[in-house]
This record gives sequence, C-alpha cells and structure tokens, in this order.
Amino acid sequence: MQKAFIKILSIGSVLSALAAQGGISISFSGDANVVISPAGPGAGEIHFLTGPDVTPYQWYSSDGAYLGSMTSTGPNGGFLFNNIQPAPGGNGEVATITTSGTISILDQQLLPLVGHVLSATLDWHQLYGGYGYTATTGNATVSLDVQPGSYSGFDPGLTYLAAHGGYITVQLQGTSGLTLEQLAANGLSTSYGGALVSPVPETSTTLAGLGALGLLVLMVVRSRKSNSAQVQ
Amino acid sequence: MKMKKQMWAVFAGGAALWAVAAQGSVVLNLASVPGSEMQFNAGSSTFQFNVGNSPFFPQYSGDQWKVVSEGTGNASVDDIGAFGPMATTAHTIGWQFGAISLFGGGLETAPVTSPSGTQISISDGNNGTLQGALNWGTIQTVQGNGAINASLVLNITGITYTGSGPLNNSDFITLKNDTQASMVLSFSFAPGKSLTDLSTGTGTYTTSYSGSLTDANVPPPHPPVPEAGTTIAGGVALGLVALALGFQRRKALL
Repeated sequence: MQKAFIKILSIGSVLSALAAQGGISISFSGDANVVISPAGPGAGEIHFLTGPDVTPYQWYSSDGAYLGSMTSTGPNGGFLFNNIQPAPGGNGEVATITTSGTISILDQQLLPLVGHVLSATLDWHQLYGGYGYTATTGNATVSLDVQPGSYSGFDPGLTYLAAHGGYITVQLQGTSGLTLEQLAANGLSTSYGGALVSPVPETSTTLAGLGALGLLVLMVVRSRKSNSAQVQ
Repeated sequence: MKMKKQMWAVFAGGAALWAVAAQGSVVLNLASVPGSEMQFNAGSSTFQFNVGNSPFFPQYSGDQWKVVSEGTGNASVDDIGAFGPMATTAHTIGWQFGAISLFGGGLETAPVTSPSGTQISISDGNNGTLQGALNWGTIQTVQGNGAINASLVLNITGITYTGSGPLNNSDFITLKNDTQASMVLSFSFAPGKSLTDLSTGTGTYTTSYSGSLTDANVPPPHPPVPEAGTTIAGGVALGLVALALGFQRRKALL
C-alpha cells in the first residue's frame, strides 16, 4: 500500500514536472478603461481601472479562465512614467516607468470550489509610443516585467510563470499619432488589450521534457515488470 | 452701436469656434468579451471573430465584444454594458486579406474584404439596436519598440438605430445621424507575430482584441490627413474667426 502511494506520488511529480515545461501565453482585454493622468511636466501616471464584470480584477483572458489586475505601489496607485526620450533609431519615443507594482492572476478553473491566485512583483519598465510622428505607426505600449512570485494552484502555465517570471505588453487603444508628451500633458481614457507571456527557453525545455518523459517511461516499465513478477 | 458690433463679433467668433468643436463627437471604446477571440487561419490568409463561449461568463455567450466606455471621458451610464454580435456571419466565414505590402520600419499592411453582407450590430441594453454595414478595411502589423503592434481598420456605412423613447442612447443617435463611422481593432500576440507570420504555416492563432468605434466627424489621430470636406469646413470656420477679429481691430484703430 505504502509502495503504491509512493509510486503515485512519484508519477504525479513527474507529470507536474512535465506540465511545468509548458510556459504560458495569455492574451487579455481590459474590463474597463486605462486612464493616463498628467503628473507634472513630461510625466504621467497610468491607472488600470476595475470594471463591471470582474471587479476587483481589471482584465480577463481571452478564454475567460483567468482574471488579472496590475496595481502600483506608487502613492496614487498608478504607474508613473517620465524621462521621455527619442527611442533608439528614431523609432518613436520611450519613457521610463518608475514605480513597481503587483500583479494578481486568479485561476478560475476550479471555481466555485477553490480559486488560486498568483501573486508577483511587477518591476518598473518602459512606455513606448510617439508612433505616427516617426516612420513607425502603432499604439503606445506599456511594457512591464513580471518577477517570479507565488502560486499554490495546479495550473501548469501559472506554475511556470510563478517559477520563472515573464513580461506583459499592453496596447493603449487610439494612441497612434499621439506623442508621449501629449499623453502626459493631456491625459487619456481608453480601452486596452495585451498579452502576458512566460517564454520557455527552447533548448532547456526540450532537454528537461525529454528527461521527464524518459523518467516516466522508466517508471512505467519498472512498474509493469514488478506487476508481472508478482503475478508469476 | 459699438456694443452691438462687439456682440456681433463675439457671436461670429463663438459660432465659428462651435463649428470647429462640433467636428468632434462620439468615440466608443470596445473590448472583446471573455471567450471571444480573433482567430487567424494560417495559410489561408483569413481571420474570424469567434463568439463568446466561456463557461465562466455565460452572460456573453454568443457575443463578440462590448462597449467599455466612451473615449471622451464623459461616458454616460446608458452606454456602458452595451454589447452585441459584431456580425451575423463573421464568425463562420473567414475575413480574407489580400497581398501583403512591406514597408520600412517593419510595417506590413494588407487590404481586407469582409464577408458579403457583414454588419455591425450593437445593442443599447434597452431594446434598441445600432446597425451598419462593414465594407472594407485594412489590416497591419508593425514592429514597435515595445512589441509588434497590430490593428484592423474598418469602414462602417449606412448606420441605423432603432432606439426610441427616454432611454434611447444619445451617442447612437449621433452615429445614426452621421450615417458612417470607422472602427479600429487592436490585437497582439506574445511573442509578437507579423502579418506574414499570421498568414503562413498551418494551424490557427488566437488572441483577444480591443478597439474603438469613432464617429465619422471625429478626425482620426493617425494618419493626420484630414478629408477635403473637413479641411474646407475648418478653414471656413477659422476664416470667420479671423474676419471677426480683424473687424474688431480695425474698428478699434479708427
């Protein structure tokens, strides 16, 4: 009985090791607007608002399985940006996001029984924009780094994200043709969508995946041998 | 007499400024509902808008996107929560995009043909429906510094609105009166994908999308190329202001 239990545990851990190789890529839509507020000369503050459907979260994944929110540790709860500079190569502009924050992602898949929340730190990063005044067109994009965090659920993608971290890009709708200076000075309220990804390094994934698969095959073969020996 | 002429000048200036201001009107911000995804069918150069089917959000089953807010900062309560299927056939018939043109800065564009008879349809939440025909569009991806920016621009014509009574939607009435609008949908992949990536290989690529529906009277932020009619109207209005100010100045000198 004890051996069978250990065997189940071992197979379980190999399977979860396999699952954790998957990485994660989530695309999402904002349930409410993102608001940019002026915060002094050449500076602005980005707030992601909560909406009618997923409060207290701010966005939902395209399949509806995950809800997320991004809040800053800044004094007003927004992500401050400043130091607007021409981007390298004359390709639009770039500003520095100076406040860090927290990302929370609710995994709804076992609701209503239990919901597991991933929590991780968002490091300051950059706001890209000014497109339309240069050779490049496109919406202003918020880029944030997700640090490794905590997660106690069973979703393999979130498990991987909590272990390895990742990054988020958010497109601010209707900002093509606006400079970052204009956004900072005049403010804006608009919808947004984005993507969260925790990429898997290809080589290590393949090796680790093959290793885990090999281990699983070995365990199954050994288990079969042991069973046939008991029958004889 | 002098007072009367001053009043005329102020009135003329005010009317001219009103004419300039009246060119701005309705902007509706949109987001795909949970479970609705934009799906690219690689290899066939087509895409489609799948309808919401998330078990976590049954209220959006069969819908594609919702109006999140108005973009002008003065959203009225009756707009929020308006939703509806984008088109009756769009989720079963792929939208076709044509030959991809490559430009500098990583810009890729292609013309889009919507399925025949495709209409946009938005419910106002009070038994009223706004509808319009989607005729043509352009899809583009561009390599920005932060990510690959991707967007679809659509032209909406023949807008109708069936709302009536005290609960009708004033923005929808404005859209109906203007009869046409434009719609920009943005979408992104991580890692980013260009139009070439999305049209080659096998399989499908899905993602969420957000966007805005803009009244034809609102000048688009990009590209900053005003239409001929807008230029003439704006020019006439500004000319009126200049005339009024010039008249005032000349009078003061005399």
